[in-house]
Amino acid sequence: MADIDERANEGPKPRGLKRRDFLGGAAVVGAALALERHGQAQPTPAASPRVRATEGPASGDTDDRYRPVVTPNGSSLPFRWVDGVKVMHLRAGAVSHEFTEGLRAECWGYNGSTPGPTIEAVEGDRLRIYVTNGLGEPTTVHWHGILLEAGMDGVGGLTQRPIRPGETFRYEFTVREPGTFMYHPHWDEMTQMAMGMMGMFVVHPRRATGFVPDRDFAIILSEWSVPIGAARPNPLEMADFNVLTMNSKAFPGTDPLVAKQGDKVRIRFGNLSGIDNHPIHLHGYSFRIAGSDGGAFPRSAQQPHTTVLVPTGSTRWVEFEANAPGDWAMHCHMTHHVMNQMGHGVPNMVGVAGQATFDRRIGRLVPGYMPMGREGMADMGEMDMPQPPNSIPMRGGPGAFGNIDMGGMFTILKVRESLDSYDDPGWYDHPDGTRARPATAAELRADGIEV
Amino acid sequence: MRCEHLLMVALFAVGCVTPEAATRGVGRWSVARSGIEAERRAPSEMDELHPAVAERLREPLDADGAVSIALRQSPELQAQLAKVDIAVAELWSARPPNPEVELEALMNDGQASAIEMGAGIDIGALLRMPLRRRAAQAQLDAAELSAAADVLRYAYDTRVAFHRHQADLQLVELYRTAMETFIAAWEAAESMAEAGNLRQLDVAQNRAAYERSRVDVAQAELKALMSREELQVLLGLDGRQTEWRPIEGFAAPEADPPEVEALERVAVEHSLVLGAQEQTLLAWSRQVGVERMRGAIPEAHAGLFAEREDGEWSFGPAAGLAIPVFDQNQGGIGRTRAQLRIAQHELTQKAIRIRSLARRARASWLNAAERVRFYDETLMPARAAVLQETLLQYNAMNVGVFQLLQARRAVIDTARERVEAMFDLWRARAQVELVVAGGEPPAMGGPDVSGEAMGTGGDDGGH
Ligand SMILES: [Cu+2]
Repeated sequence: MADIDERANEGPKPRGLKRRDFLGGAAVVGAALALERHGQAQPTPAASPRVRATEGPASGDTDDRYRPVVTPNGSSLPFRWVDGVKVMHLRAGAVSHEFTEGLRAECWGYNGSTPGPTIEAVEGDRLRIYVTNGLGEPTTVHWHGILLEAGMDGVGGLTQRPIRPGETFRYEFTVREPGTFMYHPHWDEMTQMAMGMMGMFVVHPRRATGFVPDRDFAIILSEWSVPIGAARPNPLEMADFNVLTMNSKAFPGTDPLVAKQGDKVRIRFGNLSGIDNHPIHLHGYSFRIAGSDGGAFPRSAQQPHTTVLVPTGSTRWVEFEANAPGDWAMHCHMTHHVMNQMGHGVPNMVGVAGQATFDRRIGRLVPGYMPMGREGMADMGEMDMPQPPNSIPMRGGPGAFGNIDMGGMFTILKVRESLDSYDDPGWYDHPDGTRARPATAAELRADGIEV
Repeated sequence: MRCEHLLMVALFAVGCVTPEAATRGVGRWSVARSGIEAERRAPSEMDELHPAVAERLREPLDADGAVSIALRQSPELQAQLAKVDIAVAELWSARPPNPEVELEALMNDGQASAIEMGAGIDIGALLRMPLRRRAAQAQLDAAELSAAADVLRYAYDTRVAFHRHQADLQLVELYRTAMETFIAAWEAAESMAEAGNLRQLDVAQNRAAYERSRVDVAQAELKALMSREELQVLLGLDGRQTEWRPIEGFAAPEADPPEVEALERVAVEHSLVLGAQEQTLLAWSRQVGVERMRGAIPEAHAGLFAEREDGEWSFGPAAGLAIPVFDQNQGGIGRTRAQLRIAQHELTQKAIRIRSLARRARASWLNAAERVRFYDETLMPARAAVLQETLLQYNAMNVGVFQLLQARRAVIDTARERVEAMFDLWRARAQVELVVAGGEPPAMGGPDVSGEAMGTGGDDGGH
């Protein structure tokens, strides 16, 4: 049924043939589709976009062959058509980046942001990507998962010499396969990726059939070490990461994913964390894991899941129909990955008496001292005590029912019966009788519950 | 002439500078410029507390108070003052020689058949007397100036002992506060172990650190007790007056030391030690005159002679003179001249020394003041900032109570170092004041009240 399915059924075949296939065909872009280009602000699902079977136009800076992905907290990379080649420009450089309100750090990224803008193309497109190095050290760009000529693979020392500071390199290749890929440096990776240099690379199918998403999200997962009170990620950290991000944002800085009931939703995850895999769990839905950076999974092999494990250095995309309205949490299920700047070397105080003798003694020795973490640590987000500047230790965000004591890789899928736009619709208004609430004495009595 | 100058500086009995007044053994003594007043008291009075001292002891004691008590109540100081009496006694030996009377009778059958009477006086001694008297006067002046220097030094020792005790009390407080941090860490470890969160090893480590801190406190307390007894002796207070307590706190003095040229000049001008040495020099030079005269007129007597023979008295003058042919008292002259030379060299040496001591005292003051300023303006705020930032990190649950307490201990350690710098400052300041008043401070590194010898305590607690 879908283009993906067809490919899956075709089995292995020389990939170079595909481009020749579509070069022969021709397609017209519907007028309606042109209006749909800015899909983010257009809640009405359009008809399946048909794919232009030629190379790009000779000029212009638009591409109406696909519904653009939504990169929460981010954007897509602008481009220009030059004689049928899609020309883009990445500028590596320093970025002052806010992870969420209260934590800003000097990071590195592309075109002024981390992650860099999402690259979007259509299967078969010829891309020419200029990379200008605005860093103080050399860099390269590796097109992770893209099948291309070896010399375009962007591995410093192996396939090219690194791009010196101030230099601009030209990469040019044809994207042969649709799918979800990434780009990142392949020179001093440890530093450059820890500093935020990465981006998603989406190749839309030439012919969109089958599951054609109304909402197509791209989220790159990464992890950082920003010492509490410091203002620059520490690339030397190997294990103890304290800022876990989706598109370089930690909750509550993550933009919600908004969908209308009935929308077909695809969420593409990439993971370029230093050492961690992230099991991303979506509440309220069962989804299919539809592919990885290796390509689409055969429809027959797609299993239903609620959690998708995204290993570092790979991508996954999941698909589902937004049929359950509500505010649904979507987060990494590693509990330390949904904390903001938690310290990991502190003694455990859980279960220690709240106002012990030593608390009074320390209170005399250190004015301003407060006992902490005795009953648990959730109250941390709401305690009003002085914190180190530029830090978000243990902080959560506001929710419909008080503080959401989560941070890091946490975001919210907001599905509504009706929407005027895909802007944040606010908190979900639960229908009567569909929300947990305190039990009344009468109810407890009636059901024979003793407390 | 310096001598006139020194007279003003000299120790004197109020209203009267004659040695006779001094011999009375009582009266108030003051050292010009120093504001120091000693009071000579009879040994029999010393058993009772001087009324002014009793008054002082009712209030918390400051350094000036301690000095004023010592000057009235210290038997050691009284003994020093009484030494002036020895010089006064020397002056008595320079009175005119006593006349000599001779009587000779020739006895015959119980009857004096002939009587000879002679009365004479040692003319040589009489002639030497004014010179000897002037030499003795110079000796007395020297003794008085030395006594004044001793009073100043005693006041200085008392002042320094007071500041040492003040410093030691501060250290006791700081060690106690440090111990509090160790108790808190131990208690925290206990509570956490009870909750199941810590190993007994952690509890044991924290307990050991606490027990170690108790030793520090005990040693500091002993040291404070010792410095208190030191002061108690200098104050001259016996076992009935041990209840006094020093004022709270230990603030830095406001003043700056004088410029080095001015200080050296004043130190030399005012130096009682140099004054005393000059008087000694003068005494020896006068003694040379005495010995010269003894050489010129070694023996001379003059008097009256009366003789009774056959019931008839006859009178006549008598005189005797040794002719200095062989002995012109070269030995006595040579000896005193050598003493004079020695005294001259000593004067130069003492002038060099007092200038050096003045420079050292000033340098110590500047150095200690700079250190105190550094502690106050830089290091203590830096430590406080570490504690404050650690508290923020604690609030951020990025560090635990043990690290918080460790940061608190670092503040205490620095405060302890600051106390030593403060003591150095007060001691150096007292030295400069002593030099300006004309006294002579101990050479630094010499047998002076030493600084804190204890270690900085264990930092082996906590995590
Ligand atoms: Cu994770």
